[in-house]
Amino acid sequence: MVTSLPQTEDLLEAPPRTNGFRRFLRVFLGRKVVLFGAVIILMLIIVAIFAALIAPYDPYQQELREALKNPSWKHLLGTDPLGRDELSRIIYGTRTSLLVGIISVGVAAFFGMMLGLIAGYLGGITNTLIMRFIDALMAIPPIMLALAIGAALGGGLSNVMISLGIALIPTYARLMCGQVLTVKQADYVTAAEVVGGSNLRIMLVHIFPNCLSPLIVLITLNLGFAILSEAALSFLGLGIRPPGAAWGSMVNDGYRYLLTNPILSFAPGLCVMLVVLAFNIVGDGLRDALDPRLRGTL
Amino acid sequence: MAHLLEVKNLKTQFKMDNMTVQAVDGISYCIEEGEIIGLVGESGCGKSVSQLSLLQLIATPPGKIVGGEAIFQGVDLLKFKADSEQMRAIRGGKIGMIFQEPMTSLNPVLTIGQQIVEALVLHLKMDKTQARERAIELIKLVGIPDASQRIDSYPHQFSGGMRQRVMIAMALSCNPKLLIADEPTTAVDVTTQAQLLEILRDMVIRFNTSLLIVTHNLGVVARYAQRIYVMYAGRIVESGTAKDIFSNTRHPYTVGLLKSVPRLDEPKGRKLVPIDGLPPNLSNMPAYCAFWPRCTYHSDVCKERSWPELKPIDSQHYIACDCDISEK
Amino acid sequence: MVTFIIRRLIQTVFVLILVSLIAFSLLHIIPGDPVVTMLGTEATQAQIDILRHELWLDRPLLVQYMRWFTNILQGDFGKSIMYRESVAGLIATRLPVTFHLGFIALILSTLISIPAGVISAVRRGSLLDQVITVSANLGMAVPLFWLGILGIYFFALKLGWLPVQGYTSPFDNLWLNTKQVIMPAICLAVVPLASLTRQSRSSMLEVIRQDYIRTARSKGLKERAVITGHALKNAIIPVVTLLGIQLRNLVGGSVLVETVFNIPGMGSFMVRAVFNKDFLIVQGCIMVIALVVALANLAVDISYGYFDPRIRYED
Repeated sequence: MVTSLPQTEDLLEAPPRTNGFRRFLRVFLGRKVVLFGAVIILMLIIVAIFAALIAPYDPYQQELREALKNPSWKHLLGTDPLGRDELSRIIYGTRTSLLVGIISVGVAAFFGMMLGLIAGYLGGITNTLIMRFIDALMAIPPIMLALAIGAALGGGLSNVMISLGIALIPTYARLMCGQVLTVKQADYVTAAEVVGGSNLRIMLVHIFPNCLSPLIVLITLNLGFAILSEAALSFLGLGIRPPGAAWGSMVNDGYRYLLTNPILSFAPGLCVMLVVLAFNIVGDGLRDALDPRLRGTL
Repeated sequence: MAHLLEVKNLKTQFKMDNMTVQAVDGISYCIEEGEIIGLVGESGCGKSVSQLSLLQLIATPPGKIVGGEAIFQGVDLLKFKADSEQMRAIRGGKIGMIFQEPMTSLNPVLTIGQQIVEALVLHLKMDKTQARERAIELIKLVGIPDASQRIDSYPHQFSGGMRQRVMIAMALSCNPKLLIADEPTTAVDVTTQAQLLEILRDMVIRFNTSLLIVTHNLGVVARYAQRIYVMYAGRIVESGTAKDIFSNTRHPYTVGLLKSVPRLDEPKGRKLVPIDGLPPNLSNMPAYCAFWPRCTYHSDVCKERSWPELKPIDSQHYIACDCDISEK
Repeated sequence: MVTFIIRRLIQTVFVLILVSLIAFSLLHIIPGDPVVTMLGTEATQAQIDILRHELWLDRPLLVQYMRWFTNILQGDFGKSIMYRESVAGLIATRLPVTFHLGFIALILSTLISIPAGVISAVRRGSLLDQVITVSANLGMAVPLFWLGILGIYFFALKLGWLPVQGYTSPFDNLWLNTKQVIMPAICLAVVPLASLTRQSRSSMLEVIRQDYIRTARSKGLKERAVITGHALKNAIIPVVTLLGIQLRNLVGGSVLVETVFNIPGMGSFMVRAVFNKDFLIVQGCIMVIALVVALANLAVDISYGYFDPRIRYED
């Protein structure tokens, strides 16, 4: 079969346009690891939503007589110091993790992109100011920033979400700013400027499609990081207040009883690791599937 | 008289995504000492791959040399393993190679001096001082001014044409018997092209090195090459002296190539005639002549036969075509 | 190159000023009365008034900031409510401990990650590569505090090889100190190690495909010389960039590691201060950390010129 120039009749019956989305799915889910990660995330979401139906016990129900029992058929993962069923608490913990992850990343993405857009579009001194402010945010490790803000505003879930959100803003701001600058330099924008004023609308139309891929990857990877950070913060004592169930604080609670009931610390930590691993793998898979050049660098 | 290099029936494949691409499909050629040879063909015809195969620089997961011999100074190179000591001694030491892209072919974090000295120390066993002096000489020879200063410069401080000269110096530094130039002038502008080719020719004459120029530009080989091989779809379709090829073109593909290039001795108004159609799919080749769909002289008879063998029609002129187009 | 350094220095100074604004504003975003928050609900009105006056909280905002800033420049971070000592002095005793841990973790992670990434890239697809890649992915996902607790469980409680917690000065008892520091340093090193390994792997993979590697091979160099002499020198450049970012993670990680292993460094100090609402300590810690991170990043950026000659000659 030798390829030849298409005849007119052939053009009328044009072959179906290669379905970009289907190809993406094929590459993305083609690797078993990525599929595995996606399944875990799906399970996480399902467990979080249907926690009430799945959990065998009420996670807040204290039964002091049943405290610190080892795993048994009655309590698959044992009970914590206050007699609460560990498994149920872990199941409810998915909600905390997911909630904090989604909201903090959402906040970061929204404000970060906005800042980046303003910085890139306006340029000049605004750009410098905003980008230096971003640098300042990046000079403080996220955990410490969250600690400090948490200290000022008090513990509690919403404050953790806000402080994590603030800590994550820089990556989005930089992404957006970079995209804006690239588009800004494009010839047609210069032409528009010559005619009179750069057209924000034109720019936005071209910026977002280019942003979309790296944005999706960034969000996925950040979700993993946010969940990890939330666990760290609740381990330290910030975050959801007792009796709320959060994996990090569960690890902390179990720390004192490490010798007798190690599962109390092991299980929630393992969950954190699995979930974060899943997000990271999926994020990498997304990056590979969306940018063919990088494929195979996972 | 023994050839400097005799390649017999070289075949190289690439396996990709369940397809096997026959990039080089049984080519044979030879080079004598001190000769300048041209290897001409369009993009994708396998000419670069054939040269990389010779030096076993093909990436072996997708690629594989599946047949043939490459007898250099009496020894078959393809018998050696790709990373063997013998092969490494040949590379750079006996056979030098320069590549198409001067902008990316030099290591950006090493000075050009370091990159030239490296080869000298490796093959000629010089010590650092000797090597450095020799490197300065070489840089001077290829026409780079202020050689003793520039030797410590980095590639990004040179223009494309300059970098190509550095490549030439590097490739010839260990006095190889053969220099392979893979599209040496494709990525530079026309003036630089001319300069580079002159330098190349001067250097090979000075060093008594044979030169194989791989190119798709007939103009390049017309002026410099003594013999020319024309490749199409992984095979050689015509070969001969430069005179044979240009004055007595016999293969329809070569005819097409010549017609599509402007010439000074033709009237200005002559239209450039491109070759119709697209290059063939190398993973799915027909048994008959692969050029058939684009051939202006083709007949149905050609389709019934397998791809014609290279046959001599003169002492040095070979063609792979069963039709005699000189009558048409 | 010199202009580059000067420009970066100015940037760093500017950034640190901004950080000071952030740290300063901490006291002022507290809902309610910061003084009451700091002293607790049992404080008498007199104590509250004294502290408020001491902290200049009764003056205009700008004046407050100027005073705070000039004090910092002189190294005065105020006095801790809890310890009744100068914050600067307290930080000074704890900073070296964090440095000690961080330094070991940094060396560990750099020394292991680069070879691991290179080997993984050069032997791509092999079992070794898969093991390294999976381990690196795991390392990026593992919660530091959990890893520490696991380590304590196995190596301290069960096997008894290493002490559970604590830190004695290396000058007092080097052997004990070494045993104490092994687990925390390894835990701290895990995330940078994983991240740097992935980066060196991917940049090595990228570099190996480049034309100049083919040129190097065409000169007849041994594969080893091609990898170390040509590929590595290029691949390491993005890794150096990443190192700057990982320094930040090292510092952040020290918060967790020091808490788990009960090590008296900056991290655990800051955590305790947060829960005691001792904001002056928190502010001081932030400033010092930011300074350290910013200087480290500056050093990394300058070292760039050594690794990438293209930067060296740019103006």
